[in-house]
Amino acid sequence: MKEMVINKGDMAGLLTELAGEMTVIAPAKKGDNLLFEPISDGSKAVLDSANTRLSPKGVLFPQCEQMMTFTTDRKQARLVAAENAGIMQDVKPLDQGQVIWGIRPCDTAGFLILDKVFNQGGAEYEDAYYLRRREKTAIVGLGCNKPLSTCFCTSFDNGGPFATNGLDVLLTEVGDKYVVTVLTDKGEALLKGKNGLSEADSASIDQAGQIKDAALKLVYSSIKADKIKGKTTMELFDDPCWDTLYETCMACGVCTYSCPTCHCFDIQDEMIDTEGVRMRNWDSCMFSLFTAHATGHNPRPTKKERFKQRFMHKFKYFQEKFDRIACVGCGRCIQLCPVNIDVRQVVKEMNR
Amino acid sequence: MKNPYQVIEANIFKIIDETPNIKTFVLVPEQPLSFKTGQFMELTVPGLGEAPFTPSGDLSKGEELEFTVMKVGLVTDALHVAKVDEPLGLRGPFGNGYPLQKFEGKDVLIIGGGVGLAPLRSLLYTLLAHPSKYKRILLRYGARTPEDLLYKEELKQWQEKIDVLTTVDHGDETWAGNVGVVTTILDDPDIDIAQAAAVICGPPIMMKFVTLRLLDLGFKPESIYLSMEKNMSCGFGKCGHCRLGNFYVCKDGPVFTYEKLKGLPEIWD
Repeated sequence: MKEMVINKGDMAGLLTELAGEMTVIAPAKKGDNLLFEPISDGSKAVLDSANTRLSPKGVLFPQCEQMMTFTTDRKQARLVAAENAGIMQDVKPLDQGQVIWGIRPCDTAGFLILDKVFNQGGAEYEDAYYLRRREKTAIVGLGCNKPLSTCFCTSFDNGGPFATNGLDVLLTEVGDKYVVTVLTDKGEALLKGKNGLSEADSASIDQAGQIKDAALKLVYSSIKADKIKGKTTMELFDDPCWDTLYETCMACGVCTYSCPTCHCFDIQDEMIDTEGVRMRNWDSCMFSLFTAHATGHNPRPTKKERFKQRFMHKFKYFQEKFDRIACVGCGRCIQLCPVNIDVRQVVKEMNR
Repeated sequence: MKNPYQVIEANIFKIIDETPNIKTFVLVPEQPLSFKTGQFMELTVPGLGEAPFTPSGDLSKGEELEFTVMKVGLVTDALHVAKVDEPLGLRGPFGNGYPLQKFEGKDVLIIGGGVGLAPLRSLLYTLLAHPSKYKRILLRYGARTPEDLLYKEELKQWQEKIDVLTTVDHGDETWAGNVGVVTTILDDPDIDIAQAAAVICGPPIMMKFVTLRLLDLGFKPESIYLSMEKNMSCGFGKCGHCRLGNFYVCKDGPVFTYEKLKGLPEIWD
């Protein structure tokens, strides 16, 4: 582990320099929203604000992405097939590396959860689109000095506001500087020889430690999910708490879209004349079409079943499969829900 | 890195009309695929998308794959107007398939409802290739009306080799057989229930009542094999559509014993 420091004033320069070598993705203003966006000018990075509107999961698992291109023009298709390119042509993977700069530890934990899903099933069934991006991506985290009232990142196994799991580098804001903790070889290679960085002084390192300890105490919102594991699936599923919890839900799906761990998607073909693109788009278990059969039969016919599914998946089914809860405590769903449904309240009921 | 979303081309070699809304498509994939009976594939109609189907044919035929498809949605509507030689796409196979070894030495009671006979036909071909491995093979099949019965000619041929009973919900002037749902033809005093396996495929409501009936008859939950059906997109446990408790139907199934499912919600939904 190597500790360095950089003055805040030098950060923009460092990011601009990095952007000359690779794609730099950092929190930046897009319209009214703060989102993880590619930047070429380092001064566009906003590192002094709390959570971005959407989680950065879209960097590795975009909301809409092209998977394949194809043509339904038979003559053209034969030409392509003759070149041995098959009936559908895979899109080109990223040709250069990228770095996600300034990701919060909760969102990084989100990627560790997505890794489990997209890696599972053996080499044969790895998700090529996610993993091809993943291996080209370095992750630079930014610890949270001031967690929000909706944050509960210490509740499960996510490590809290300065967790380093999954990070290549951790930044800690200390006054007018950042302490830069290099955690992996990938992080080392990323920052090697960059302007603005210097060896950390012991005073800054001490201060960073104090800030970290203080931040842990600032996460005053927490939930317990310890009893969920011991309950049977049917016990939880049939719990009367669901009869009322779902009632205000409007099934808008904002919780699933803003969530760093929700990963459901749908595959659709889009056509212009004879030229087609196979797309993968985020889907949501909050939508009735998510489970509808072609016959019209729907195994989850009402909002109640769909609402229940989302929480049962995150806190029960996922835990049974991967031995961890699929929630990182970022609090976005609490902030964005138009009818104030609070995951902490739902889990409290499940954990009774 | 292998891309499991990659599609291989398969041309339509032959189309067989089965019922007014069900056809069987014989496809020739550009490369041979190795299969276990009961596994499924994602079938692409380019421009309209994909849908999951379990092959219904004799898998030992190698170069050909048969899919029996009911006309019911976007992709299947397009399939039903497709012509011979039209190119389609395939990816897979996915899922676990039938555990054939578990059936050896037993009475194998195969129960189908409607288009659910499609994967079971593939199973029948596999079992009938080595009939001596199994004590007896029995088929119980129900459809809505006589004209909705699949594989009408083959049903007659099977009748000569194995114990076959059919039933329809609504008969007509040509129908001399049993009228009623498939649970009405399940009782068979000759079956050694302790040494039998039941394999069921059909609409969710049919699978539910057949399972309940078999449990009443004394079948053990671990001897009842269900081919589960859910909306699916990816086919290998990523997209989330087919989640059933802590299982993905596509990856952990589609064949489950009732023993495995019985503690889960939503199994018959």
